[in-house]
This record gives sequence, C-alpha cells and structure tokens, in this order.
Amino acid sequence: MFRLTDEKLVESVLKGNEEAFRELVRRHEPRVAATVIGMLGNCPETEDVGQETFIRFYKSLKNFRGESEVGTYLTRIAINLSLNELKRRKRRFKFFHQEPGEAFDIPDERTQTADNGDKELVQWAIQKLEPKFRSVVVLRLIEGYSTSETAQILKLPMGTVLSRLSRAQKKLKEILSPFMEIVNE
Amino acid sequence: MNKKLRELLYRSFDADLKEEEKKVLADALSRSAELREEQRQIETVRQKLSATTASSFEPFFADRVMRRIYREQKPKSELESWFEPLMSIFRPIAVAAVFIILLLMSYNMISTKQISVQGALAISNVAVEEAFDPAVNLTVE
Repeated sequence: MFRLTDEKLVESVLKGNEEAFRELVRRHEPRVAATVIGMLGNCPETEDVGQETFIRFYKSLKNFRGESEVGTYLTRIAINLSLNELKRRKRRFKFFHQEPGEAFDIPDERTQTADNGDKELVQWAIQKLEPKFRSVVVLRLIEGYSTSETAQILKLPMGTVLSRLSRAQKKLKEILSPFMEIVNE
Repeated sequence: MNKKLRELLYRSFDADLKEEEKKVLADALSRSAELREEQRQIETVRQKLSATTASSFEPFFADRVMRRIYREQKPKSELESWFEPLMSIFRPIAVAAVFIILLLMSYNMISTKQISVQGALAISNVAVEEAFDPAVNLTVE
C-alpha cells in the first residue's frame, strides 16, 4: 500500500489536514514512548510528557524546516521535556527530604516472567543513573541512534557522549551484576 | 586491569578506533582473560538494554493527543478571553500585596512585642466600655 513520507504528512497538516497529524502520532509513538519511558521509568507522568511532545511538535510545525528527520526532532523534544520532568521530580523529592532513587522499588522477581523481569530490572537500573548518563544510554543503547546522532540530539560534543557512555555502562554493570548472572550467561 | 585498556575497550563499542588502537586492544584481549570477561559482560548489558525498548503508551494514545489539540484550538469564550489578560496583570500585583501585608504584620508583631493575631494586626486590648467612655477619649477643657 502507498505510504506517505513524514515530509508529505507534515505538508498535509500545514494545509489543514489534521488527520495527517494523527498518522504522524501513530507512526512515531513507539519512538517517543521508548525515549520518555526510558528517561522517566514506568510512571503516570510518561503519558503527559508523551502527549506534550506531540503537542509541542504540532505547534512548531510551521517552523519545522525538515533539517532533521521528524523522528529525531520528536526525540529531541521528548528528551528535553523528560529532563524538565526529572528536574521537577528532583525538586519535589527534595521538598519531601527523599532521594529520587527511592521512588523506584526493586522489581519483585517472584511476580515477573523471565523476560518481563529482565526488562523491569534493566529499566530500574537505568533509573539509578544520573539524568545526563541516562539520556545517552536511552538514545544510543535503547533507541539505537549512532553516537554522532546522539551527540546532535543532546547538543553535546562527541567526546562527551563517548565518555558518558563508558561511565554509564560501567555503572550499569555494577548495578546489575548482583541481580543478573551476567557471568554465567 | 590497565585503566587505559579498559577505556579503550568501552570506547570500542561506540567509536571507530584507530588501526593502532585496534591492534593494542586485540593484543590485550588475547592476553587478558579478565579483559575478555569484561568485554563479555558489557556485551550482555548492551543486549539487555536494546531488548528493553518500550513500544507504546496506553492504547488510543493518538486519539488522546488529537483530542488535546482540538481542545487547545477551540476558540475561548468571551468571558475567558476577558479574564485571562486581567489575571496575568493582577497575579504579580497580588503576590506583591501578600508580601507587603506579611511585612507589615511582622513589623507590627515586633513593635508591639506580641506574637499573636492582635499583635500582627496592631489591635490594642480595648474593652467596649472604654471605647465608648467619653472620659477616656475626650478631654474637657
């Protein structure tokens, strides 16, 4: 079946066809979901941040010049909004004298299937990372952007992305090793 | 384990190493079982991470986004469009007024040396009889 490109859909939205925007949302929902859930974990705020990402995109469509792909553009908005949400969360936790990491319980392995349990465990471990390390992990290792794309999205030098990736992986290995039998797999 | 080799190992997953660096790393990997183990562990962590991709939000996400867009585009009622600029003008004034009131109340409490509502409002304890007693309030010449 004939499938319109993202650029054609954007043109169509600008001409007043709002159904074309619905198609853009459907098409890019998985990517935005991966970014937002990767950054914030499974929590009620992800839905709001996800919706806000598309609404910001809709409002900025007139200025969208197609220099980057729609997916990359959306990922950038999603990352920025997630980082804002994390800052808000940190302020909230500070107010209640609690560490942000305490909000996420270690997944109970008895209630998980092996595959699901692994996912939850990894998600939990990601939430233990500082936001600046989390963002490179989400973009490079979960979403599969190249290191240069990751650097572009986060507006960071390539060297910074590489060093943050190394440090994040070391930290993840430390966090996960007591739970997963990495050595024996 | 050599720190530089370890860094090189981590970098090898995400960056193109120079020929010389590749050689150094390959040589080190062939000699060190510990480094090989570290390599395997990183690979496992990376595999686990790439398998965690969440695919979607709750069902009908696109519908909810479109509803929000329609709602935000809906023209505001006359009353709303009349109140909104007023609200934005008066909000800072209201905040400033509250601040000034608090300042005055604390000044009153300090000057009357009374930490109470009466002190804050600078109300003296006057009985009703005293208030209406002409002997107290009027001086007769």
